Amino acid sequence: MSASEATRTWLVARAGGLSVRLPRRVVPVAAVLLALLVLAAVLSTAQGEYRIAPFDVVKTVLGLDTGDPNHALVVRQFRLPRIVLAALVGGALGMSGAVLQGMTRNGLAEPGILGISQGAGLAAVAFLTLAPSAPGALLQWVALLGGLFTAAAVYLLAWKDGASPVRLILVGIGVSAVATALTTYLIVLGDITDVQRALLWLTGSVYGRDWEHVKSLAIWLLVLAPAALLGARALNVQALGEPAARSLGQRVNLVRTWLVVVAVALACGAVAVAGAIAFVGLVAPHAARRLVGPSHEALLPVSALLGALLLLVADLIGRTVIAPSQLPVGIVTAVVGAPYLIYLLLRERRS
Amino acid sequence: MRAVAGAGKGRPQRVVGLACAGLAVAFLLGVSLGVGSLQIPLPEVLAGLFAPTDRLNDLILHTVRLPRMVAGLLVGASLAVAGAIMQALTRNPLASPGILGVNAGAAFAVVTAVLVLGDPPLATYALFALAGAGLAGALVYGLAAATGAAGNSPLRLALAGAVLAAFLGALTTALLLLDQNTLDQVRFWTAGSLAGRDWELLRLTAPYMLVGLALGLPLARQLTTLSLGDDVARGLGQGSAAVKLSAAAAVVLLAGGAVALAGPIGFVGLVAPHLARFLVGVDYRWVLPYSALLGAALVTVGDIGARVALRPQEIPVGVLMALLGAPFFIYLARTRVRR
Amino acid sequence: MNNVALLRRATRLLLGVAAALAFSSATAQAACDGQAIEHEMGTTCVAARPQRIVTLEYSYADHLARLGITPVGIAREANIPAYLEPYVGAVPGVGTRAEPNLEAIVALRPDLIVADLRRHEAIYQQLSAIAPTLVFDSLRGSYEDQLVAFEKLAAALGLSDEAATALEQHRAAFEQARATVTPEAPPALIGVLSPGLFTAHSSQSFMGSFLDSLGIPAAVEPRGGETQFSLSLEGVAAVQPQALVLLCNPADSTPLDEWADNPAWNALDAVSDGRVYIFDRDLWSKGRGVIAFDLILDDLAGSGLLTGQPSSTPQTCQGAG
Repeated sequence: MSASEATRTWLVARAGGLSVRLPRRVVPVAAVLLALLVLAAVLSTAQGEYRIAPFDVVKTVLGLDTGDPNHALVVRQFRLPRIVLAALVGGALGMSGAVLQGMTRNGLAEPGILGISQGAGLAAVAFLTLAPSAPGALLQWVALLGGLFTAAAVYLLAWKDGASPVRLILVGIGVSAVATALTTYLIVLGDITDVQRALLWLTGSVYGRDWEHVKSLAIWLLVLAPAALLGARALNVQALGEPAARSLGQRVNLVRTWLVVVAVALACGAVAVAGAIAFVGLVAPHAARRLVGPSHEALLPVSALLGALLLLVADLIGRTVIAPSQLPVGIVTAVVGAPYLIYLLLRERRS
Repeated sequence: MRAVAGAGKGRPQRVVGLACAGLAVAFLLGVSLGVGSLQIPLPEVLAGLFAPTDRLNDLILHTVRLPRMVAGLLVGASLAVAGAIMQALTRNPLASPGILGVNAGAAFAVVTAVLVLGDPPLATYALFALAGAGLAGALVYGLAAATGAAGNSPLRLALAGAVLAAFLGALTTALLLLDQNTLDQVRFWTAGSLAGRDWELLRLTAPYMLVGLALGLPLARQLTTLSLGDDVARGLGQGSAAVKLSAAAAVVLLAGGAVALAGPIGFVGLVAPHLARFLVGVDYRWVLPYSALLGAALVTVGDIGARVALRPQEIPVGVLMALLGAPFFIYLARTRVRR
Repeated sequence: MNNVALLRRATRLLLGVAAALAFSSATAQAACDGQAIEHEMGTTCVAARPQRIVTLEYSYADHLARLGITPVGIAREANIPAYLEPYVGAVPGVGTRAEPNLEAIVALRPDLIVADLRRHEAIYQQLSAIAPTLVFDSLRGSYEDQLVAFEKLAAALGLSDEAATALEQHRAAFEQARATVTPEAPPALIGVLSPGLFTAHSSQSFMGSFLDSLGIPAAVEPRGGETQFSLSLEGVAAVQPQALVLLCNPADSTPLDEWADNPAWNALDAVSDGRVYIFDRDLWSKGRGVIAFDLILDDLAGSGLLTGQPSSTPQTCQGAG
């Protein structure tokens, strides 16, 4: 890969037949975000009910013996999987949100809008309240199927010579309402303990997640993240509006379908593992846009990085603020995310 | 515009239509009184209403079924009128208290009240619901205006409302998780239900809805002009800020009062005005009363269904309304909304 | 690599894995020098005489208290059932029962953890990594299940004899209570009163089966596969109960507050005959341990439920407990 000389604001990279153009800002921004991510991860690994000196934390992560056999257990079995998972989930949601916002040309679009979270939520709540003795390992797959199925239903219902973003969102709202109603029904009439477990899942949490969860999401992302990045240029064209896109030769419906599939798959993977976490997919792309501008080749990775950072910090807050009890990460993102979103939107209006 | 089709119908027809609707609603109310865990046949219902005895069935009729029926009537009418007014004010066929997060706002306010105050008296529930409804409405307008260049396109408003509802829903769930007692206390309420609504609660919440109706119904003429466009309204010397403010106040009172009584019930405010406009056209002097009757009918039917569908379990009526109304919403999204 | 070589490699791998598994299980069985306790998630080797025990459900704390043992940590909410206060009120909490804090548990260096099947199945692996973990069905188990859990827990602690004595005493008290049941005692509608809800417990529920074994049948059968379901005032009236067993917490506001003034409620046979027995909900449903069961039998003895007499329990929730 050779970087050709930078023009005033752009960085262009070419390899084989591919060329990618990024705003120059991306490099320092990404570097800073990555550094912050690592810093947050380190801080988070050092935090917890079981006091471990920071130096010992580093030694344990590196696999060195520290004299206390519990260190390895706490750091490698309990803390690290959560932290890594939070980062992966945040990244997936951030990227999914960026794709959806680009595709619908609407700043309020997020993975939840297509009914994914609600559909997965319904499946999960049904599983927890109607089949409470079934093995818990199935929950992940049930939620995944629920989310995918709902997104497919929304897409099909919105299809009328193609899926216009407007219809897609509106139908998504309608289908979400149905899913939410059914979920409410199950919550109202279910046993209070099952309901509590269901609500914990619905709010979004990385409590008790282990390396198995991390592995399954990592594999999922390994396939989907590159797929999303490949769609970056198409997203730039979509942003011009449908007539312009068509005149540029883009096969709008095909591209839209592809983008929706990728965004939905990213979001469903995240939701299946961590529950329906709110606002990361909404806020991360907004903040990313303000950092690196609207070009999607830059926007997608930076949204992912920001999403990862957001969720990691949210998990850290959730674990420390009311210790030894824990706030599920979804609560922190909701409480912090929405006011921040309103702030972003108001600033956008003025500018 | 399709809505104009009804404009050709003459006045006598509309009056007759209104009377028919009224009779249909009365019939439904009668059925509602008879249906439940204890089946009370119609003759007994009538006898019990006018010549009550000490028997269990009559006691149930007066202390349980009757207030429930009146509650359904009031809630349905209020939500429908609120929805009709919102649709006129925003010129948005998708506007309704549920879609625009007003319900979610009221629900969130009530949950907060329960968590903070422990066990608030019923009057406090109502006040919080109203405050929540008003705040949510204002927020939705703000969000919608902030994300777009100008105007309230159907999409922007609906999306802003969905975002707000999602946010408030997440916060509400968060609060419910913090304290299992609050969860226990509130989870049934948040589904929207007419179960257990008694005279006491009606006494406390009905005034808000009645004032809302008194405020909103006389605005019919101005609402008609507003629904045709801001410029039209200004040109006719109507649509002043005072009118808009009164209409908004009516919506808050109606939606807030309804939520305070029955919890958040969605889609009535969306479906009833559409049906009304389909029947009588765009003149709000007819749309409003028709909406009220249709809304009352919808909620009553929903409540009957809620009691009967999975007997003896009662489904919260809010759930049923969503299951019925959402497909209608999707249908609207497919047909009425341009790309 | 061609297919044959691939196949050979795979086979060797599989055989290696199988051997490792066989070897590890063999060594596991050989190495247990304490008690091998069978529980809901398998069989766990517990070292002899565990000293530091962490319980993740109230029923286990109850069982331990009956054996005279105090755990070093319990999962708890802000309020624990009042009857457990003297026993474990001062024991440090390790988070809520729904989400115990794993690190807090590690910090206590336990040598035995006792968890609930429904709540903690998802974190069983992680709990086992900290200390040998026993899992029983506390939340959903029947009355007999709780007693079996008591026996197994005692076995793990090497206190089987004490447990046997305690069980004998309890069973004797149970039989004594059963002997007092008269033919006048009618079937009872069991209802748990929580804010906004009246939940009827059928004959198949934990409480229903408990009272049934004593000789008081439940007034309702499971409906639609549910052993517990909510009822409105109408629904209660439709059952036409002869006796009402109501469980509520003094601090809660429940439907009873509104119903008490309702003439339809007062017209019910159970109410007009004075057969409304109100007990403490936390004790009856959250305890589920041997001490709780004994206290429940005490409650019942004086209440009049078993003998069909009018109730001598408080007639409001505020008086219960």
